[in-house]
Amino acid sequence: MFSLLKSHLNTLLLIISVLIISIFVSLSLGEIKSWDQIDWLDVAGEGGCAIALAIWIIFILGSRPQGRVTDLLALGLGLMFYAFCQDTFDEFIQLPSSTLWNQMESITMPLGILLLTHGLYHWHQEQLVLNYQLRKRELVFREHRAFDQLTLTGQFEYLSQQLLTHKNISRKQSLVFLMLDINDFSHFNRQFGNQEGDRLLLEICEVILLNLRQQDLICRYAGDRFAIILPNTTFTQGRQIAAELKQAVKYFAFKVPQSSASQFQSLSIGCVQWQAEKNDSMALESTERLLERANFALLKDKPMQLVPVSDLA
Amino acid sequence: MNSLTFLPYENDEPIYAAHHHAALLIDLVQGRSSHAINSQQINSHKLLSGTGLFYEDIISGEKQISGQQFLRLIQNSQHLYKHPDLSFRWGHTLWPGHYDSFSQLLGNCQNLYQTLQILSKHRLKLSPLITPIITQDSRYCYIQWRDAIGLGEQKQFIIESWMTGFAALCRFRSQQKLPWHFGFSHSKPKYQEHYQVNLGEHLYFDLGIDVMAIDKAYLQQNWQHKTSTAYNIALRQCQQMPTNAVGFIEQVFDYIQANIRQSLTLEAVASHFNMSSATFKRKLKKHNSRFQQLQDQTRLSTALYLYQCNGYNNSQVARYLNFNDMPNYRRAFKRWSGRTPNNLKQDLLMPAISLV
Repeated sequence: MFSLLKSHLNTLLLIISVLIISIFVSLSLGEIKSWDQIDWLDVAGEGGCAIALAIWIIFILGSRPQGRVTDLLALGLGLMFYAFCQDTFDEFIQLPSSTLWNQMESITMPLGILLLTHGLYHWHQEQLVLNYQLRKRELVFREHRAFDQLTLTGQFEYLSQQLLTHKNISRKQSLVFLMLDINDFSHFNRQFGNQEGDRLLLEICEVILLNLRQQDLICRYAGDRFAIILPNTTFTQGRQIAAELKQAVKYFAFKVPQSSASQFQSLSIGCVQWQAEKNDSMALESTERLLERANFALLKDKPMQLVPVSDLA
Repeated sequence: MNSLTFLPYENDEPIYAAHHHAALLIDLVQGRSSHAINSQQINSHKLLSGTGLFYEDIISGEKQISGQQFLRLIQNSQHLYKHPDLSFRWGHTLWPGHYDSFSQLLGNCQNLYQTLQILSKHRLKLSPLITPIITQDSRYCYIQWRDAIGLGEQKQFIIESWMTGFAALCRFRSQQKLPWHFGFSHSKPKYQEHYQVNLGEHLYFDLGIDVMAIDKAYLQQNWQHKTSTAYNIALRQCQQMPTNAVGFIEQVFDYIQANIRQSLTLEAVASHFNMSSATFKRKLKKHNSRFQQLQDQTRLSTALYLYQCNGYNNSQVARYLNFNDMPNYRRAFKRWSGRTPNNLKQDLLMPAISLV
């Protein structure tokens, strides 16, 4: 947050200097009221609004890069902040009525609101563009706390919520669910360290995203395991997509600083269709059961098979 | 009593090398954010707050830390990292590790059996904080991970790391995912998916003890053979270094275990350790433990051992542990584990259950 605030230093300085100038102008034009003339309720109300607006400005500037929309929002909020500050000063300073200075206050507030509204409209437009960029990572609802900080995909909780919403729909249309992980990821971590392991996860996630359709959703299950929801998809189509993901990752040449040779990875994928419950053809099986079957299918897809006990002796 | 031949140590004695297991945890917490969003570097000052350590101490490669400092560091790490996968990630880095000749030795073991022996023998260097206790019956080998110094609230975190770490070591050395079964004393956590991905599908919660089990056939299976020369050199070097120290809680556990068929009183145990009851109680409190709790845990693990390995039934176990009647035993068992004997027995690996 604070790193972004720094880039808005000029805007913040402008707001503060306008405020200081207006304090001096007010002081030079009017006279300070006596103690018993001050209405403390008004001071608290208007001053409180000014403080709240200052906090909003800091949050908004702290979360946005520079640009047109940011300028509009900052200008709008800045003017409103200024108007509330002016209101608060008026409680302390008696200005001669009907000066130009006195009327400015009635102009700044509506102007600020107008600019803010204009800014919010453009923010809405901008958000639509950003939502489009987030597709395949989020569907229908947003909850940033449920997102993985590394790959910026949903975590287990988000996945479960998504599955529950899909449960109602997929009674009518077929849904395929994939569970995948990177083969020998722990070995890669041992060889090149956790930092490179994190970067590998992030980049493989990007490769997978490139190979998904618009309506699909990927979540990070845990560790190197990812889950993918393929809505409105037949089992054959799902298998096809899984095979394509494997191909795409197979040819992804990951570079590590420790070695000049590219590191190639392979995926194991469990592919299951959300099916009706055994004893009840109307209801779909529970999300737990779906996850369980997908995890089992993933383990079956592993190339590394255990040496059977009977061969050990 | 072999406890007399071992040097006892308490949780405020600097006995663990700061640049070993602890440093790996620090690296993980500090390195996490380099690719992640919110990439504020976690300040080493915050991470080490309350431990009395400085980052320079850790990287000096000479500082020894106490159990208390170690636990505080783990607590800080959990607090700052804010994600349940920290314990598992730490686990993956634990072994063979970079602990001088001890890692050399562990990393060059030729099979699971040898690995377990080395880990157990040099547990102060290789497995600080918890002790591996290895038992076998006709079919399985069990590793019980038992508290050595009074882990308190950090126990679950450490158990997660240790089990992940040991399974990962076996996977690394054997080049296959061994069919481990994992039993935990704690309940199923909310982040169960991390257990599944890091440990596997065979998980049992609320078991009263923390144990890993595997078919004995895997004990002697030959692992990727490095050189026996490296192993032998490391063996000689390790034998020259003193590692025969035992944590205070571990000692108490051992004494209770050795006298499990008698109902020991706190006074009797205190006098065995040449302490007054008051001093003994104070010592236990310092190690986040109570006498009753240690005794209950030992009885529970003995009961489970008898069910599992000796095939005892309820009344045989009750008789072995000196209970006069069954209702009394059942009530006590419920207090130890939170479950009835028959309910808990369902989760044990009875020999009839196929492992693969």
